[in-house]
Amino acid sequence: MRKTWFFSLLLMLALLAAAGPSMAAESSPLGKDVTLAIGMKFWFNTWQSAQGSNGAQQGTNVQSYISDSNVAFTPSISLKIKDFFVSTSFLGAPEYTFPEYSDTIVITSGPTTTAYTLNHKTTATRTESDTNIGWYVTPNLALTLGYKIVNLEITDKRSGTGLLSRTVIDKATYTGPTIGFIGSVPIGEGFGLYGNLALGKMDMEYQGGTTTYDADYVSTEIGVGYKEKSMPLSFTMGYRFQSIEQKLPSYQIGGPGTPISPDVTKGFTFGINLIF
Amino acid sequence: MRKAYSTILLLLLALVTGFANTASAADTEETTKLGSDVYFTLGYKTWINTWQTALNSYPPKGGANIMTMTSQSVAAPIFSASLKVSNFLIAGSFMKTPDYTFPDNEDVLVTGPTPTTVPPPGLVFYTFKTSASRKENDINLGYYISPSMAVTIGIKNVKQTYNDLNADGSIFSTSWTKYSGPIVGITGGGRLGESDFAFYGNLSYGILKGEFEGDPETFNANYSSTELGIAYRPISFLSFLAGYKYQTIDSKLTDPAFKNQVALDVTKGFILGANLTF
Repeated sequence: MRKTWFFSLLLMLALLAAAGPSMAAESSPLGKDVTLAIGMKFWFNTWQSAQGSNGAQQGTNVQSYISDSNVAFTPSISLKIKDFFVSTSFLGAPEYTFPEYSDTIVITSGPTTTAYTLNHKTTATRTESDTNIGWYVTPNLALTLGYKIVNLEITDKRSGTGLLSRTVIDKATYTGPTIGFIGSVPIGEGFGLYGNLALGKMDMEYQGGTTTYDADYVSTEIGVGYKEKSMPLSFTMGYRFQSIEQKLPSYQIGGPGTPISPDVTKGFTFGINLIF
Repeated sequence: MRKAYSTILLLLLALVTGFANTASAADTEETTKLGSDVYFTLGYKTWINTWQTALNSYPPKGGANIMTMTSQSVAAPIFSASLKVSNFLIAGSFMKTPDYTFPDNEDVLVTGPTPTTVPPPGLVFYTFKTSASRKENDINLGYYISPSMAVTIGIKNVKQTYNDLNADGSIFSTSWTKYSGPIVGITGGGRLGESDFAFYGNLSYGILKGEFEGDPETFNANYSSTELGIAYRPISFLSFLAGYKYQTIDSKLTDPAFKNQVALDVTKGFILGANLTF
């Protein structure tokens, strides 16, 4: 029974990098009821980004585009003391590239209205960081409270016959509190099922802008972990989904609800954790 | 997703397997009425979800891009049944939603090539008013590799019906998009300590075929779905659950004008349910 709980906790560590307590009493070099975990996770993900149109030239709508697959990396560290833990993680990734897309725009000059095809070629980068504190309600379920920061930089090269070519760079930051839980279930032979969920209310600002936008955040991951018995290592393989919905009240031209600009990243994850 | 000024999406599944899993995690042989190692479970869930769908432009009149819109929340009912015999499982579920409503959006349509001078009526700012509904079903076979986790394989079907609305809200035209194909997944769960509560979760992934009404050409669509949450079993044959579920479908556009763009459907939200196990 004890071993079961031990493994269950290590799986949760693999998630939020929150460590399990059971080993602490006998084996932790850090002291009784104290566990330190260091993790690295690779996320094979795609990114759906979006932008609001120029209503006068393009009509009022939200255009979205989905990147090619990319590999993000997430180092993390957590410290658990008795039933409480604190953890932090960072996410970085190479540049994302998006398929080219186009839009029909109209420009009016005096009595003349001319229509053009505007082509977009987009690349982007993103970094994320979060810090959480948590409390283990039971050995295999913890509640978390944290703060998350997401930085985006989107480079849009615009061109078209009859139009001046130009490059537009938008930098934006999402910040806000999150709440959630992490859980795990041992399934035998060193394996276990793990999952987590986080929800948040964030603020979004463009660099140099004066408007703050509301945004809803949700993130969830589920997968299978394995704890190596002879070494302080655990491995995870799962699927992670994250969504940030920026609310665009100025794009409300009719109908119910507030238009939303979505930011969705999702894909398979692979992780390794060192437990001290 | 919806073809050229139609919409998209789908959803659901992990549901059934989630039910089966949650039930089995806390069941014991003493509660079985159908015989040793035989469990039959009926379930009902309400999924309070929003639907982000896509509306691809009509090239060349509107360029080649994907407009996205997100609905108001609706409560979608999901019915499920599962039979577990020894380590094997068969489960199915069905969902039929009420109408989703979306904010209006607007696009420029221009007749002929660009650049060109386009006085009206060659130039149109067109407003789209949209509502839509979904029907989904799935059936899965599963095998419990341990008492707390099963692997599953199944078939998923999704039908989305889109309504183009007049300014007064009446229906101008209707079209549908269908998805179907194989899915694989995992489902698991276990008790939280010695309490009557349990943690549960499931994941499924699939490669579906998509089809627009009136278009003989099909397209590929990647499917993923996850649900996880907490279940509570106050008595042996009844359990309740509260969780969060999301589902995505990535539709790969085949029209060369779109240059490999992908249209994404996302449905997500909290889910509440109850299960009766016999």
